[in-house]
Amino acid sequence: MTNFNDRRDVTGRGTASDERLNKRLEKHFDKAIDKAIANGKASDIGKDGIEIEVSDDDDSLHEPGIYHDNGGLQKRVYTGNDRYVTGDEIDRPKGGGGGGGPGKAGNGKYRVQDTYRYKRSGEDLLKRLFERLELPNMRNLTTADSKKIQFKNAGVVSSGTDFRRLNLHSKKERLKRLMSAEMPHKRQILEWLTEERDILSAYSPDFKKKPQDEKWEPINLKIRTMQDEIVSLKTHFNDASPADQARILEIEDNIEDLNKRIGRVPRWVPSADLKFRNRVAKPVPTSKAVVFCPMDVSVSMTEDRKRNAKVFYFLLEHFLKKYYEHVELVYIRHTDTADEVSEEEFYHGTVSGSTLVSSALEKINEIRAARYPTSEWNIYIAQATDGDSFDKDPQNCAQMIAKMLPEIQGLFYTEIQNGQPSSLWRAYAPVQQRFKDRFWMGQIKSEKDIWPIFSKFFEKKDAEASAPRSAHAMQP
Amino acid sequence: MTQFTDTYKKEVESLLSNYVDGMNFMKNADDWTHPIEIKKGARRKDLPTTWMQLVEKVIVTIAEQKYGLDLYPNSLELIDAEQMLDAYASNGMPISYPHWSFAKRRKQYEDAYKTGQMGLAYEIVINTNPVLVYLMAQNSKTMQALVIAHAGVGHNTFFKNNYLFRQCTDAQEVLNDLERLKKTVLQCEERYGRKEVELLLDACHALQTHAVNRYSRPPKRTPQQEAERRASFEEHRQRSIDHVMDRTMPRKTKDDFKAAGNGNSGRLTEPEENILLYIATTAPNMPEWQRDIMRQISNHAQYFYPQRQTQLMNEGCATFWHYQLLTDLHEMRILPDGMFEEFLVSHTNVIHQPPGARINPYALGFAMFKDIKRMCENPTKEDIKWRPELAGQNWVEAIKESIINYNDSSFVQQFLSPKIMRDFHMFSVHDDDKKDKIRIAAIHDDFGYDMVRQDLASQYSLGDNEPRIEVVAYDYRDTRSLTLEHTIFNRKPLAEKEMQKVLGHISRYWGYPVLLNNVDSEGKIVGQILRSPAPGAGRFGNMMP
Repeated sequence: MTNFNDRRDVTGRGTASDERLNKRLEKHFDKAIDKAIANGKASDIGKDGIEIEVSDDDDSLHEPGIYHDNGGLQKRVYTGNDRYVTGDEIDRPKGGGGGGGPGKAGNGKYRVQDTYRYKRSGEDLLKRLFERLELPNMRNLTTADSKKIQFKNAGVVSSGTDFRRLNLHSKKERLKRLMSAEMPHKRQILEWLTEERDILSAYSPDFKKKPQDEKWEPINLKIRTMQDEIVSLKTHFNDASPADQARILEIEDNIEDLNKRIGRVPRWVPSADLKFRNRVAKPVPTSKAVVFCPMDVSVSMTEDRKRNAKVFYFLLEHFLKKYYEHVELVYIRHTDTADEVSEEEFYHGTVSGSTLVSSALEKINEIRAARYPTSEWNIYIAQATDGDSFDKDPQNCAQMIAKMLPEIQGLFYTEIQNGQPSSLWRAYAPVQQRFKDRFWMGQIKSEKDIWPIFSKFFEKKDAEASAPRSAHAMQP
Repeated sequence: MTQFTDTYKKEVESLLSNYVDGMNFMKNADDWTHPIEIKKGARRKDLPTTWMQLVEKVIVTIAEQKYGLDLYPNSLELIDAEQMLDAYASNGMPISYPHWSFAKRRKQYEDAYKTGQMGLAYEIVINTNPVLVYLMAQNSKTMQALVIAHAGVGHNTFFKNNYLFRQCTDAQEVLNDLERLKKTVLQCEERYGRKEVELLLDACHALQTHAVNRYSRPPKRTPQQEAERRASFEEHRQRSIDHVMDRTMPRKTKDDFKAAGNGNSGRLTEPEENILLYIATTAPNMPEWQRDIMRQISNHAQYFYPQRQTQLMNEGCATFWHYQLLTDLHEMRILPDGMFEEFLVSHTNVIHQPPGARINPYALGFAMFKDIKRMCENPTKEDIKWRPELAGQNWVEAIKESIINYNDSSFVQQFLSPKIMRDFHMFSVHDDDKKDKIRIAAIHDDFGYDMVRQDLASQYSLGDNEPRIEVVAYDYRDTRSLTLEHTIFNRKPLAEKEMQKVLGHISRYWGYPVLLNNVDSEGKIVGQILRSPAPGAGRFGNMMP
């Protein structure tokens, strides 16, 4: 019967060839991204995706081949003639050789395009952007109630199921046991056989002993060689003296007994011989992160500034998604009091008032204590404000964050205004010096600064780099 | 008139009598997924159990019993549209080594398909034994039957019988060879890095049109013989390289190389057409893994060589037989009217020849085979004058004979009748760059038939359309340069920028300068390109310059 094979594949493509094509497109992708960012479209990043354009002149996608160019004498047959007679002459069509010369036909049936276009989704774009960055201070946490378990291989043990049995190991173990059990007996047998052979060889004048080889030989081989020699010597058995004959017979009896003893060594001892792959259950650390977004919505924060803050939060959220399975955002807006709000209210609400930044920090501590224990959550705070606060407020804030920092993974302070550093900034600066590995400060003067600040925060750090580069982010 | 016996009808009826649906199994099915029931107590063994397999069995029975077609066994492969695109991109092969150009091609096909510029051919079929017939799950039941007839019989019999396929390809081995090539590529990627392997494959692809032995094939050798041969090549190569002299002799200049190419130093006794294989065997310093991959790719290109020369005949043959068989099925009342209509619509679309555009091989091929049948059964006076041997012959035998013995170019020369040329209103256009206008050299009238036929045959001839470039010299004693010669045909120039890039690839693996001479019909050199390998192209032990 003819084979009928269902080869439909639900798992989707993502072939090896696609991988290699993407590698080749990498630098074009980066160029396209940089162009998009330079156009100040940071807020649109991740929305509609991006198109990579590669011209055929570029060697990345060009496939050279051996073929003709236009020119010379080209002959071509067409169908559907409804007007021409032999000898008619017509003008050459513009752009390329006449009568359909190959032009850019390429070789074979594959048409060569002038430009190749590849779409990349917003997700891909973000992924690529973030590939250049890394997140510090990450902890993989195991919680009491994390139920995920992973089995890991952990060596070899002596008990287990058939499926996990290691046959080669087991055979080796068995061999070890047998050898150590049998060896003394075998040596004894060899000794006796040697004795027997020596006795017999005395009666065979023309017998030549096999030369003693310096090479090591296995004991079984030695025994067999000895037995062979004895067999050839046995023909003279009857010439031997009675005493010798008796001794020979005694030896042979002893050897037989010893062989029986060897035979009684058990061939397989399951408890000792069999070996199995061991496995150990390990809990899988879950990774969760929470991002607190305290945003200043006081009078001084204009729509523009709020928008820049929003873009920053968006980037942060996606970046963290790369590292954590589970990222939660807590939106806190504050004027002189702080409220936790929904995303909708956060971005589109119209509350306004004066500024008291410490209210936000208090709120954060409150929520943290209630819902996000540090043993289970990685905590990040992304504060966006224009720094416009007065009196004791900057100092209070500085003290509060100094207390918080040891417990959290990262604090990002973005000052969204284009003047000199504010009083809040100046208050934070010494704290930043103390906690350089988890406190980043940056000033966003316009939308164009968002991405540079963001990438400065998370630049990949070499082992050699002494001072954290985030120090630069401090300078406006 | 060619007569047919009725045994095939009885065979099919007897086969179908084992099923509950009987002769109506096509009519009763809503879709190709229709489950077919074998009658209780059916004694026949080895009965097909699915609708598709039953269709295949019925169609093959008719093909073999009524027309006596010689077929390989079929293997039906059910895939979805995505996989069909993948198959397209890798030249129809179910397995392939990974390379970025396949992904690029796939994207091109996908775009063309999504914007309606290209229909997903309803068939991809592979010349192997058994023949792999790919069926798209999204197709209707009529289309499935059509594909099975088209590919499972039409292409099948062509693959099995055409002389080029028999000479050049080994249907048993092609998938194994591909599997081996894929493994080799992956292994080498791991050992030597993806970039190195990618460069090598890029070079092989650039040379794939000139990687074939057209007239002679190396004899089959055992692995031991191959290994011995390779060892003796290596020895010969080492003997002809003197590493000490290489470093102490004065540097060669461009003129030295050009002189070497113009002279007779190291001239081959016969020019070598298989450039890729020549480099693989004779390049002075190349690691064995690179030679191995080049050799395997040359072997693979050999597999595709007949396809390039028989596209017209192959598609014509498949279209002709699918038409013939589905008509038979309709006559036998197995194919219901509705399905037959659907088939006719699809068939008509496929053989449509838009005027003034590129000639559709399905259209012309189908017309030519139909015409052979006509010339056997109902020849006109003109036919008898033009092809007397066909008049009155058994048309099935005539078609079979043509399938066996011709390639596209010779097929056109032999069978493109005046009638077809009139039907298609063919005309031949000559574009001579020495003149300012294009000339209509011949149309479908008595004066023009011969020239139109000649010109069309030339269009299908690889020799006329692909640049003729051969290896003519290897100066192994002195400069170690490689000399290639392009014999200009009809004053058609090479695409020079492209050739530069190809020469760049060649020189990288050759390790020494490569010279290309453009030679006119009298043997005079009218142009030269010299390409030296980039400095530091001494990777993997390539020495100088």
